[in-house]
Amino acid sequence: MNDREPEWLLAGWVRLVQARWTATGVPSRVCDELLQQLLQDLATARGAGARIEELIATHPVAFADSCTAGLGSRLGSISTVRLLKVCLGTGVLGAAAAYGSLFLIPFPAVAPFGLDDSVFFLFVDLWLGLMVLTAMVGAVRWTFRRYRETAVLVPRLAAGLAVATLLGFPLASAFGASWGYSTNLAVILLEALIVLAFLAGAVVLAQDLTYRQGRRAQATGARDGTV
Amino acid sequence: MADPNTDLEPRRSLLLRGVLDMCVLAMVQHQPDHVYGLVSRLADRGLDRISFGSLYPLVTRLRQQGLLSNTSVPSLVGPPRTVLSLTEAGEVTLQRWTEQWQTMNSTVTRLLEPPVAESARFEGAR
Repeated sequence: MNDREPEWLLAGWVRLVQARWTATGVPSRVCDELLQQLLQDLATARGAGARIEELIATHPVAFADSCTAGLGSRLGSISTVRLLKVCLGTGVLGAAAAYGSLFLIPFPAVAPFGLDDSVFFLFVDLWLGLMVLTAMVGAVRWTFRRYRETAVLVPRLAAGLAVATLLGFPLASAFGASWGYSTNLAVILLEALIVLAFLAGAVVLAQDLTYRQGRRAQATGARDGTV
Repeated sequence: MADPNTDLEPRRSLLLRGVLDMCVLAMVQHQPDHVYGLVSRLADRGLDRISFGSLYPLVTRLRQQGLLSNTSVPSLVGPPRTVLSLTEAGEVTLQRWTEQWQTMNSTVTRLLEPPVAESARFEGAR
């Protein structure tokens, strides 16, 4: 071992590897195991005469990703229940805020641009709905940012929620219309449940498709004998 | 784009990917060693482009699969050293992979040689 070699270079490289594992959602238990093993192996290598530049020749991000590439199920995954809670919870809160804003926004007495009142409020509803959907997707992206499947899940979730909204709202409206737009609490709750059921279906489907892709990629990697 | 006739490195890398895990298991079976020791031994056998950083993830995978385990061995200088050794599952796997490799190797070798009938016809045409 060369005592004059800067050990801080090696320590810095290890910190970057560890940071990558943390950033990509490797559970702390697995991360600690990998780190302890790496430190032990690096110390052994140094003891056997390895030079620091030999040990840190690989980019830390590529090294960290390669180490976790074959760990599969040990890396953990997003819980469906938690995903539903975050997504639908944000949706309910967002819808409540959007509904409240209808009373706070000073709408003009006459719809602008010569639009019919119903068309104008349809646009207002669509705009508010888009804001709520954006908040739902944003909440999922932020909450599960440390999970590696989030990058694949989020676009699918956005598309799925948009489709579910377009399908669920007309159905809920038709149900409401069949009850003469009753303000009865049970009717309103059922309308909300119809929309929530569509949104929940979209969430579960988006997650299922994401996992299927992950399993296919893993199987392909195993077949390729990826080092 | 690299010329496949002159730049053989990508092909060499691909071929190596398919067999390196088997080579590591075999080397550890012959002599338990640490990761850096394996890198040095691979270099001694002509595979000098395999760095610590490229072999380590493979060893991590083999450890996670339960094919390699850590064993503590006494050292002449300093504290005991931790080396990799083959587990029972690793021995079984190595046996199966070796058989598969030998079958594949002989099949490919036969494919690369011209069939007897064709070579005889080729000789006759001369």
